[in-house]
Amino acid sequence: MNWIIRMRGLGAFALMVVACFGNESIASGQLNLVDDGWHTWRTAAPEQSAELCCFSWTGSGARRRTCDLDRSSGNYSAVEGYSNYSGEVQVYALMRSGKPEKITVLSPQCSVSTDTKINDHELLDQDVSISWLRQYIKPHSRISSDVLHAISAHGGHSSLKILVTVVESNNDDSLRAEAIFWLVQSDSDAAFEYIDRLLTGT
Amino acid sequence: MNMYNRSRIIFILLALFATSSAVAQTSVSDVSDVTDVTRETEELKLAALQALMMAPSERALPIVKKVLQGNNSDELKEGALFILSQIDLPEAQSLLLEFASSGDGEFRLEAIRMIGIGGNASALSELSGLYDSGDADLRDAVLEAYLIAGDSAAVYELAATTDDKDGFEEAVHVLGMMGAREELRRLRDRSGMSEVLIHAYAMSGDAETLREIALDGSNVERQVQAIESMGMVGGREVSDTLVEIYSNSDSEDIKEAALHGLLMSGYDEGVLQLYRESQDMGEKRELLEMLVMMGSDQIYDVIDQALSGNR
Repeated sequence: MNWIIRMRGLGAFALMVVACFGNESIASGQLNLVDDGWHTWRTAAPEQSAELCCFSWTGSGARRRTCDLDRSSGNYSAVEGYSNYSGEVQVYALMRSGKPEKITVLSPQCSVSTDTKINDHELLDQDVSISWLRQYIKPHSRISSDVLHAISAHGGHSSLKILVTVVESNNDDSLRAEAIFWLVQSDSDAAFEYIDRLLTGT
Repeated sequence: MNMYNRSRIIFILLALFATSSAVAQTSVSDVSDVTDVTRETEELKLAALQALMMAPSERALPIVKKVLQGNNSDELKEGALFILSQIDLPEAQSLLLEFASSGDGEFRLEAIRMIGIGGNASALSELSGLYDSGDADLRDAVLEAYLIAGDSAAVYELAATTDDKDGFEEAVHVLGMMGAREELRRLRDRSGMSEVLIHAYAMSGDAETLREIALDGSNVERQVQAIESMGMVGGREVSDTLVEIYSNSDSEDIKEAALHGLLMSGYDEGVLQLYRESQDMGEKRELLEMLVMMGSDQIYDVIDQALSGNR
């Protein structure tokens, strides 16, 4: 099969994915984070089964500990044996002058610490959360990587739809590669069908 | 980007592909576009393959299998082989062996090397059968696989059982690179001493065996090779042995070999010691030249002493 046929097939498949996922209605609510500092909200992530938290690793295995939001790296991870039964994720966004500087997604039960106040927006519709995040997917932008991870943690069709869109249309190769990575990490049938199509054209 | 924009881009892309396939005459810019799209597609595929490395084996295997069986670039297929080597499922190892047994050219050799990277004991043990019936490239690939996997026992078996001189030497060379001293010593007992074994002892850092050969006067040629090879091993103890061998020998060949060994080990203190002990002007000149060749600072001591009349 030559590349034209293969790309046609892939494009058509992408259209199917978009059409399939595109039936969901976007909630009318909008998130407007005006104040500088940390903001947080919970949102549905029914497919997220692993607990996203910070862990200390010792000889006997991993031990959950408080995540320091102000640290650049806080041993953030998902660890086997720790399950997230809540079906939700907790998004944290550090805002400066109306733009996110850092975005982290944890499980709601994971405790956090920071030197500053956290503005808690409580439970938000998943589409509102994803819609707010997706506006910061920009080529060659440092925050885009955080955003892709955050979106993928939401799971579901909306999340996959955005990741596929990045793969199909973004002009930042490393961001496209990240989107592919998170698609694979979603472990969903639709994502693997897409990867299969991308690689084999079938 | 909203739905409208995304759909529009995809539509434009589809239209572009359809048009480009329909156009009979292709301009230079069209060719350039095609190349860009092909490269872009290839990069996406490589990114997808990389991502599959983190996927559950059961998910990754069917896709990787299709990539390997499809009409894909060598780079993509080699990437797929690597992922296959990391999948710890019997089917993945069987596939890898299948490609190693019956694949074409470089792809086959890559499959063999990937068995080494995967390190699956059962798949590794199958490689010796391929080695016996393969050409030089295939044998090299099998040895490389064993080298990567650190399977010195398998390399020893190949060296010990082959009737082919080149095959024996290549296997011994690999054992040297692996630092497999025990296996190399066993080969000496089994096959007798040879130059390639001596070099392998040096590569493996086996100063003890080299010293034994270096002090054995029954075969001067091997003795010379062992003494020179000791310089490769280096270290204070080995260098002192080289000085001792030089001092105690009357043979020009042995002395020259010891001097080469000292040059290789960079032990200028030893050469200076020999210079001071020597009463022979010709020998002193040779040792002095050696110190110069070594770029040794000890040469200034010699000059100072010579100028003060104390030779």
